[in-house]
Amino acid sequence: MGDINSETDVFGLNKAPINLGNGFRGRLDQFNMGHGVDFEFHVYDKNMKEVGIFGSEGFMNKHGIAGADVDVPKSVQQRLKGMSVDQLRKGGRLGAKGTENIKGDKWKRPRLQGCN
Amino acid sequence: MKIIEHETVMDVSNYSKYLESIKEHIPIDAYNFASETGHYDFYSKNCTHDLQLEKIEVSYSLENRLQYLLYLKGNEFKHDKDLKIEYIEVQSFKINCKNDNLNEDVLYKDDIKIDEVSLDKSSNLICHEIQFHNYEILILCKDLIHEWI
Repeated sequence: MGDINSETDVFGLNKAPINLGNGFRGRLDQFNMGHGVDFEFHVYDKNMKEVGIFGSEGFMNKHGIAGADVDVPKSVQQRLKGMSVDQLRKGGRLGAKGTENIKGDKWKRPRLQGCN
Repeated sequence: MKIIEHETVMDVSNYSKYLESIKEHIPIDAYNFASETGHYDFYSKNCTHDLQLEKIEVSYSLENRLQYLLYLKGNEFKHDKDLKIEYIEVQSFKINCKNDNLNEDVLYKDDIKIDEVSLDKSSNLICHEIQFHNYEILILCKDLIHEWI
């Protein structure tokens, strides 16, 4: 996969340059945590309402909003998982393709800690 | 930004050292904001990352000094509260657009990538630089006071 940030941004919005399909868009934010780079994808619906934040543990659980309850199509969820797996492999937190079982939730990794 | 990297990967690894180096030269309120626990922990409810600009108020203080109030709305998936920042004795307040292709209606509906408090040595004032995805706000002032509301 190429640089996901370079995909066409039909709305001219740096805020959500990634086309996730089904009208959903996203943005990748990356942070140097000192001992590695962590990431999160902000996910927006077709009305540009943010519907969740997806990271190395899947959708974040905040304010009582269960991550599993975030309502996005399965194809969007799969795309987010695919891009997250790429990020985890790039950062060495997940082995190269074919070396680790990433089925279901097995791809998930704890967030990196360390920044103030 | 002077110290913090933000173009691709946000990197604050050199900032705490810089902040300590200017600690004696900036007001305690500004230092407290910049050094607040969680300010740069991107999963913390006290981080400025992902706050959204809600309102800017400009007024004169009782001492007839120009002051700016910035209201930043918390992200529902991250923050418990909104953030209010009061800028004292503002010398300049600039908003620069970074994306010429944007519809003005959506330009300011944007989230903070990262911010940095630094010392402007030429004026001896504080520079608060806030990077959003589509624009940036640069404030030169004497002090800033923050409050989670």
